[in-house]
Amino acid sequence: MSLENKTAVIIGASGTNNFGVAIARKLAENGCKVVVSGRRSEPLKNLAAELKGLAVTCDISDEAQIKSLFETAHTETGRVDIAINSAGGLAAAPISMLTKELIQPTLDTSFTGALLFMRYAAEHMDKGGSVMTISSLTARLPGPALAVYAAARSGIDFAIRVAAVEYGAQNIRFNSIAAGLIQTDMTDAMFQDDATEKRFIPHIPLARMGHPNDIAETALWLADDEKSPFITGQLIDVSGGQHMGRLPH
Amino acid sequence: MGSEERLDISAHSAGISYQDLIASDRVQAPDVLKMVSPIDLPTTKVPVSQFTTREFHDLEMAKLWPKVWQMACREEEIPREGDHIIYEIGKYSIIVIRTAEGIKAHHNSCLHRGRRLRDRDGRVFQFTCPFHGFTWNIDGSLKHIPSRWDFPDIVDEEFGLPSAKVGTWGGWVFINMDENAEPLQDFLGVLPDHFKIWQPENCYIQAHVAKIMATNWKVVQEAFMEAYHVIMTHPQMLPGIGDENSQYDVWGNISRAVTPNGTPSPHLSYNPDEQAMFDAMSDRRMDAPPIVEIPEGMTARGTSAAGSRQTANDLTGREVSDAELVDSIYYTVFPNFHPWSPFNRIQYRFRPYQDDHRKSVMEVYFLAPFKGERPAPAKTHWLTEQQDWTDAEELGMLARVFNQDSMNLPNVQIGLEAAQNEEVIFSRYQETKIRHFHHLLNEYISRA
Repeated sequence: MSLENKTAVIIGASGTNNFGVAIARKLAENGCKVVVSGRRSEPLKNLAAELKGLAVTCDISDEAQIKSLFETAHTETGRVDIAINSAGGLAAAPISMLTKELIQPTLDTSFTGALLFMRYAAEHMDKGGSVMTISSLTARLPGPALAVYAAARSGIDFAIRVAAVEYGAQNIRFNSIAAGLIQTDMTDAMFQDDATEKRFIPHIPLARMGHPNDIAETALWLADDEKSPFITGQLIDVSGGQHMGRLPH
Repeated sequence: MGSEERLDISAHSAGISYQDLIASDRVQAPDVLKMVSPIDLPTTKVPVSQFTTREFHDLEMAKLWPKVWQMACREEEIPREGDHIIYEIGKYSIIVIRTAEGIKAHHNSCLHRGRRLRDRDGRVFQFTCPFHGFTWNIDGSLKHIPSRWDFPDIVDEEFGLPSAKVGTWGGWVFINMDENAEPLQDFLGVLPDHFKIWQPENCYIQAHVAKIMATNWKVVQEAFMEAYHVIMTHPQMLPGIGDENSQYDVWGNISRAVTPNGTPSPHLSYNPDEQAMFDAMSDRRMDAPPIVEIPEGMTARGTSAAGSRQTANDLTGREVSDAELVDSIYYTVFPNFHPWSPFNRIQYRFRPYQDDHRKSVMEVYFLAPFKGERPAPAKTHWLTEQQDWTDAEELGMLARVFNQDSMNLPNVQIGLEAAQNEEVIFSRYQETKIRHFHHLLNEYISRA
């Protein structure tokens, strides 16, 4: 397998069923040595044990911790080939309620942290590599209360393109995966008629919500130098077509 | 706003999210309810000993209560110069008094031989100790010592009553015994901004009920900081309450929960119709007719809002949203004060009862908007440990809900004291407010 023995660092994997976790599992299944990272050590340790990988806690808003994350990954596994940033949680606030104190944490995590993640990832990719950031449909279609959240992601989407230019000669590719409406796997079949789903399905050409696997497969393709070697500076919308908007029915 | 970030929060129930629910309301929610700020804090497990031991109570008395802003009373309770209340927390006793220069707070002990200066609330123009007659002005400065010649070492200017800091917000008076404490406004952070539209300063105390509870103060407080317990403790509400799809947010020292009503619980295995939802919301008795027959095409949520909208609009001078009229919006100001939004009227305060780690005082205020002349604030109605909440008729239907909570509470204390496990565990999302509380509590307790 072309990903065999490559090292992938994934931050934002300390949940139980989020994108970071799904991506880590997919890459491990395909032969990667995974270094899973996030703020909560307990779920990370469990995931690392499951995937026979490494767990390193890291708060992406702390530069020293990002630096240390990549140093550890490089030291422990000998290389860094793939880096995926899935960190950053949702916060919403209408502009009418914004204060500097409210804005700063999102900036620290989803903008400053994301930029520094790119720097330290690239620093350790001496054999070339693939860096990805998880962006959002909210950074494509404007929605109320998302000025800070979406603008941070939108800003990083552009920074990804700058990074693609800066690191192209070193064969380090930078791409962004913009996730649309993605659903957790429902264990309870009782809630098939989720009102939220009903509201959004008419706007999705593929007429379904996404699954974490949709994101994971995209990340797998972008991680693989044999599958996407000429793709860089790209924003891939994994949204079932919702990102386009459309004329009213 | 879409729900594509559900996975990142990793926390939501299968039900509709609060933001999606209010997006479809006929009269739109105010911006403050469109704020979303989930937090992932490290505290998930807390030692049982924090709820059951004298030692931890003493730690709180040394490290928390003397160092934190806490709600002492409302301005309307001390409207005139000389009006005062005695604020007690554990062993501490503080006179909160209105002077010509604003509200002041003095420690309630005579500097001669320690007698409590004031035994009860009231109105005075000086503090005269009933033991030997040492007297202070209400601003705390020394006024008179009988046989002054007999105390040559006392320097008048240095013999003022030790005071606590006072801050006010929303008609509430807060005190802080730490003279180096940050200003109240800094401590409250976003709260004044959030409550701008609700103006608690323009409300009055319509009811004030206080009850002694047979639990540590944190045990009873935490029972009112989440909607997770509705499924077992208030099951009659399930057809009309989105307990499991409540939204929980944190900003600094403030936390908030929003539990929507007029939407069915995701725990139910069936979809109740709008009438069934409304009947649950209005606590219809099995043998009573419905309060309102929901018209064809209308929703329980919309009907409930419409029922109280006229009064609310009159009182506030604006079009009040469905969410404000129907949903339970409950904030917490660390450590023990819980202002709800005004159309719920509820405000809670929880304190240790005297210096007992196994007893507490739960207080329920009803704060209501008014028009015209300010009504007189209700006096405190004390209930004993043995009394039911329903003995406070002024609480209406809510008293029956409190009785359901009260069936659990003493058993929680007993169970904690019998526990062989060393920690209690809190859920990641629905118990956010409790986790946030313990995270901050640990910060105070850990300080030198």
